[in-house]
Amino acid sequence: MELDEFSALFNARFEESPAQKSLDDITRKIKNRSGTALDRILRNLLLEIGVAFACIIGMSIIAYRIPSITLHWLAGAVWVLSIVQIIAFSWQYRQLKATALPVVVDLRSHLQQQIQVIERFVKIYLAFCLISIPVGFVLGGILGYTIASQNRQDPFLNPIDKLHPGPWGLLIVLIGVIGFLAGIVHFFKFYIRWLYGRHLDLLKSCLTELDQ
Amino acid sequence: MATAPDFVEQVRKHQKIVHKVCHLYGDTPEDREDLFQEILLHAWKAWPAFRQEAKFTTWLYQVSLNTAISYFRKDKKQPVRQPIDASISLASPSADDDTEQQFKAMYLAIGELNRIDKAIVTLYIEQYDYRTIGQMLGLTDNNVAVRMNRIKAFLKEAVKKHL
Repeated sequence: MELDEFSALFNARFEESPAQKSLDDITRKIKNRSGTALDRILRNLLLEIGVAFACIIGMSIIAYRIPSITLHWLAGAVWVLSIVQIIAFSWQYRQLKATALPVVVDLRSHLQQQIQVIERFVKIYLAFCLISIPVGFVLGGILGYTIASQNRQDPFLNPIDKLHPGPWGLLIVLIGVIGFLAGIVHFFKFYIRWLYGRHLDLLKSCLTELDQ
Repeated sequence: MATAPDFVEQVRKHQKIVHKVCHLYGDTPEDREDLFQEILLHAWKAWPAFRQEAKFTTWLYQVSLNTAISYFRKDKKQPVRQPIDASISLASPSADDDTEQQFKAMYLAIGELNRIDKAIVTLYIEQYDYRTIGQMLGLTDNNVAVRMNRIKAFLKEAVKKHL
C-alpha cells in the first residue's frame, strides 16, 4: 500500500465514523490542568514560593524553641535565602506569565520558544539551589559556630563538644556540613533533571531533526 | 470577539483534526485521550490570539502538531504502539482483509517515524501542499519535498516488515 492510498482510507474512516466528543466533553476538558512545560514551570515556581514560606515558618518555630546561637544564625541564613527565593521566584513567575502569550507559531519557532523557557528556568533554579543555598548554609554555620563557641553552654554545640572537644568538634561539623551540601547539590541536580531534563532532550532532538 | 461557546463549537465541528493527530502520535488509547486534552487546553489558551480571518482548520492543525511534538509524559515507559482503534479500523466495510492488513501495516510503519517526519506525513495525509507544510513546520518547500521522498521510501520498506 502506498501512502496516498493510506491517506484516502485514513481520511475516509474518520469521515465515516469519527469518535465524537460532545460540547460538554470539550467544555470539561478545557477546564482541566495542563501538562505543558510552561504550565509545569509556573506550577513549580508557585510550589517553590510555598516551600520558602514553609521554611521561614519552620525555622522560626525551631529557633524559638531551641535557645542556640548557632541555630539562630542558621535560621537567619535560611530566612534571608527564603526571602530572596520568594522575591526571585515571584518575579520570574510574573515575567513568565506576562511574556508567555500562547500565540500559535510555526513548529520551529514553537520548539525554540519552549527550549528557551525551560533552559532559562533550569538555569535560574540550579543557580539558586547550587550557589545560594550552600553559600548561605556555610556562612550561617561558620558565623553561628564562631559566635557560639565563645559560649560553651550552647545546646547545639554541647553534644559535639562532649564527643570531640576543641578543633575536632569543628572538623566534625565541617565534614557534616560538606556531606549535607554535597547531598543537596546531588539532590537538586537529580530533581531538575527528572523534572525537565528528558523533556529538554526531546525538544532539542526534535529541533535537530528539523534542521537535518 | 472570540468567546468560549464559539471555541467549543468550532472544536466540536472540526474535532476530527485533533483525533487524527492523536491517532498518529498516541501509542495507546490512553495516550490519545491525554494528548487530545492537552491539544484542547493549548488551543483554548491560544484562542484569544486567534485571528478570525485565518482558517480555523489550519490553525487547529498547527496547534495540534505543535502540542503533539512537544508533548512529554514523565511517567511514559517504552512505547508499545497499539493498533488503530477498533472504531476507526472497522469503519470501512468495503475494505477487504488484505487492504485492512496493509492499512494496519502502514499505520504501524508511520508509528516508527520520528516526530518531525510524522508531522510531515500528517499534513500530507490532509493534502496540504509542500509550501504550506513548510510554512507550518518552519522548513522550505524543497526540504519538505526531499524529506517526503525519503519518508515514502522508508515506509515502503517498513510496511513489508509489518505484513
